[in-house]
Amino acid sequence: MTADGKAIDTGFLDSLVDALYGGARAEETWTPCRTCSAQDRCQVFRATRYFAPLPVAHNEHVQRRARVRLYDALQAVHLRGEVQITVRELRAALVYMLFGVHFCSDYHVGEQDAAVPYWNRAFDPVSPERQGEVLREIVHFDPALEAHPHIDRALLHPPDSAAQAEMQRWGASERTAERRARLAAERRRAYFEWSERTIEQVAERGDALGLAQGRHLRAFRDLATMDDDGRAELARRLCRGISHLEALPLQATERPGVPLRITPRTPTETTFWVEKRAADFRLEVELPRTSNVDRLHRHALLTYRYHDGRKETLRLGAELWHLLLELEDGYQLGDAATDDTFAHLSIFVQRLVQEDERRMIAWSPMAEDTIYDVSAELEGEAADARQRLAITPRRPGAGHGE
Amino acid sequence: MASDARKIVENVLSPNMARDIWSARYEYALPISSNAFELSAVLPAVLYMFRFGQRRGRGQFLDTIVSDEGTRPQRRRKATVERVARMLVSSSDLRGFEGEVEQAVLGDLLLCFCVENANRREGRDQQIQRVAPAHYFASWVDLPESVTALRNVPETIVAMLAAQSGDSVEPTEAGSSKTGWFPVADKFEKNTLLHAFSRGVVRSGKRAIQTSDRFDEHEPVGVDELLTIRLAQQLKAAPDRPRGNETRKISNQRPIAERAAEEFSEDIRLFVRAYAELMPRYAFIDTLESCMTVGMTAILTSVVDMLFSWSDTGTVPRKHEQAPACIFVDCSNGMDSKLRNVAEQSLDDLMRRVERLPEVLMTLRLLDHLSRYNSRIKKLNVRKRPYATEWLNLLGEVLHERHQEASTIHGRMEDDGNQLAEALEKEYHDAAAVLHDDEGEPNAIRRAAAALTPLLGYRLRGNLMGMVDSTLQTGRPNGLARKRVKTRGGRRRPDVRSLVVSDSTLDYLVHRHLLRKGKQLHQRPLPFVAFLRTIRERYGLYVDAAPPGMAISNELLQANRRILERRLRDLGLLVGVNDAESMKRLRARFKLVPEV
Repeated sequence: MTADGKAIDTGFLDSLVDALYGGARAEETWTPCRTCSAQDRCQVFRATRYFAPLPVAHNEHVQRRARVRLYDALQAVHLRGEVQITVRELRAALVYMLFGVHFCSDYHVGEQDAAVPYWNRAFDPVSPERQGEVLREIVHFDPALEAHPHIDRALLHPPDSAAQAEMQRWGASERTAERRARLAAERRRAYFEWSERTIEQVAERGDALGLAQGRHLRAFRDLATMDDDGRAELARRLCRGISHLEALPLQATERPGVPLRITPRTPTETTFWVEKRAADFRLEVELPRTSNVDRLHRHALLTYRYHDGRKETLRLGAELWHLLLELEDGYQLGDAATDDTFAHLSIFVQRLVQEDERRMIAWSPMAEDTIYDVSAELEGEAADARQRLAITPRRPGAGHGE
Repeated sequence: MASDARKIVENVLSPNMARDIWSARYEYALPISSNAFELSAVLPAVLYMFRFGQRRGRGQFLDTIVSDEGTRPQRRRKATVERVARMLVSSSDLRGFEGEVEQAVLGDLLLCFCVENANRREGRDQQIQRVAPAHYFASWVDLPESVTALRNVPETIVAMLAAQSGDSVEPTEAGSSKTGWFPVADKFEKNTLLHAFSRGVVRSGKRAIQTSDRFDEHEPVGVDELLTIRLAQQLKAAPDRPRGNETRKISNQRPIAERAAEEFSEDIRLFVRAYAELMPRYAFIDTLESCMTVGMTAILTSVVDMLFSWSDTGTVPRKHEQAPACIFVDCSNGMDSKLRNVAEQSLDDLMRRVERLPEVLMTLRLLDHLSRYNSRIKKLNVRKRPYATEWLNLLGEVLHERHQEASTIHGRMEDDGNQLAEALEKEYHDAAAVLHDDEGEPNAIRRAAAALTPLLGYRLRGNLMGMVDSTLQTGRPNGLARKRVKTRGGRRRPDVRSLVVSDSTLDYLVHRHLLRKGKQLHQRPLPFVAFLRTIRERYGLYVDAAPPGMAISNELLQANRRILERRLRDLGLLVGVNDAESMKRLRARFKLVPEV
């Protein structure tokens, strides 16, 4: 993030990649490669065409696109919050992805068979000699982990003749495992090399081919520079995602507030929940205090303000952020591994629910059109005072002060 | 079969001896019965015992809810949530619940917060079996009907927490200066555990009277607490003391695992003091159950290891030598098949030892009976409560023939064994063969134990796996273990279990060990490596190291550690950077307000 906090730039990464390619001497360094006899099989040269500084890379648009995609992946690792990327780690990961582990001599003596292309070095979890925290983390965002019918068909059956020939080489006897591996590699490659326009032409949406579980990463990254309205809208979407986490009846989700389900000890026919005002939630980012160095947040903070002014905060990593926005979009979760991701969230919800421990809303399928207020109420005064448990039917449309 | 065998044993050894040895447990080693129990139902019984200083007897629940005629089991089956809801609706403390739908909602509220059905069945027409600890008044509800269904677990917990020195747990004397954190039958606010669950409770009258606890109507409580209070008030009074053969007194018998028992007491004391009011109540009850699971598991595994050590050496390991069994924990909760397999293998080792435990317990019962009536040993007047360590050491001396009375006792067992072998020869040939085999096992007492244990039958040999599963809370959301059905070639093989850590267990372990010991409660910085060492040494939970006797690749251990790190981070309990292990620190989600 820039020092004024208004934009996110990648100047540091650009200069680091430029420096890895030789900095001011890049052109001189890479000139011999232009006439090298091993050029067509050299995986280092292949990456150079996309990532090297100009004029080593020929096409500025192509280079910009590839670099942006590379930086997106590295930022995703940072935003995931599992590891703190040191410059040493970053440099090691970039060297591995851009240059691999083979020397020129390996390509010249024909020992390049084990060399894998840069897109696999970036994302393939079993690429040779892979090590380090960044490379271990980046595989979580491997574009090959997701699928798109149009893109995948285009990648498996490319229209151009060279690719057709390649397809024929694989032939009809191509086994499923080989086909999967080819598709995975092609998706990774397309992630770096396809322009947004190409993706749009094939899949009708420019964002159809990106990092796995990365659809909402850009919003997460840009949170630091977002205006209040943008953040408020995202907070509303996150709250809806939290509501969708548990099975709630339509009567609960159609209301303007944020319904939070009470988890019963034994599953019951009736659903119980409490409702919060969306306006009481606020979204912020957690930035390092220093402003002297480049910084980028790793967590968003969803803060709820209690009736008495106290605050309750939920720290959201990129993963939880993604899952909540997916839930808000209507996706369902079928992955048991996500339980842990929601563990922190469940405590946050429990704390919010406890604020309304004397009041809740109930819906029973026995009376589909009605919801009920259930509350503990103090009736009478002084010595005659008595707490009563009361239930009152309510029209589903009646609001909660929203 | 077992009853026929018992008759033969009675005829040969005497009815008195048969009564002593024909049992599943040996209470001086482990006071808990070798059978399944429900840990979540234990807390209300513990609250009752702390409040009244006696075991819980029968209360008014069944008579109030089911007034129909019929036998008690028939009436118990009719005690459903529907009936409880109907009864509550008739009270003036509820408003608007008269309609059919509203009553259904009330029934579901009860299931949601206050009670559980038998076998955790769903529905409002099922028999109620347990009451949840939403509030102190839950202890007025006598569910399960007989406290013996809880297999002596509440009594053991009370004995460990009260830390008294007599043979039974007695009410704390009024005005006593040394009451500890868990005084018995004293004021609510003095007992850490009672205080945590007694919002709005006031006592009006003598402490021993079942009706002297009242609810202060001016104290606002949650819907779940209010519902529990109203349910209890319908019963008019707390349950009475036990009648008939059952003893009123709470035995002060504690497990021989002295160190694990003291640590359990310390854990529960610090945790409840620190977090009872800080955590959301639902989360607090979950984590408290995890606290009990972890503590009881450490006690159980310590006792198992100590008994085998006693069997080998004749001596109970001294307190500083005691340690729980070392078990590898699968931090991926079964998601990683390699980790799961290693964890299954590790717990399987313990399970195999547990399967051999009945024989050790039979040895103890035989020795106990033979030594108890020996006049010279009787004169020694060895104390068995609160800890029977000294008594077990004496029995060990006899077993290993180091005691001067050993030859007399062994001689008697030799003679009785010969007689028993003859009597069993016809119907129980295998048992008779074991008794005759003095070349294979020269020790007559061990031979007798090996022969008699299989004759106990499945039920009396003890549903040991049930006890272990109940202690570990196997398969429960907050449990410490998971069970998996294995099949090979379409044939089902014995279930395999592995130790896992649920979120509430992690929550508990981190928050507990962030607390510094002492009268004043403080949270301290705790490096991740120190946390791993603590849970390894204190509870025998191995995460990034292989338990002794197991070979686990370093790669797998590191993967397990990384998964735990990630889960702690997700839970908001870990902060740190990647290349500085010592900078990885645990942090509390529930920040402590220092006590005044």
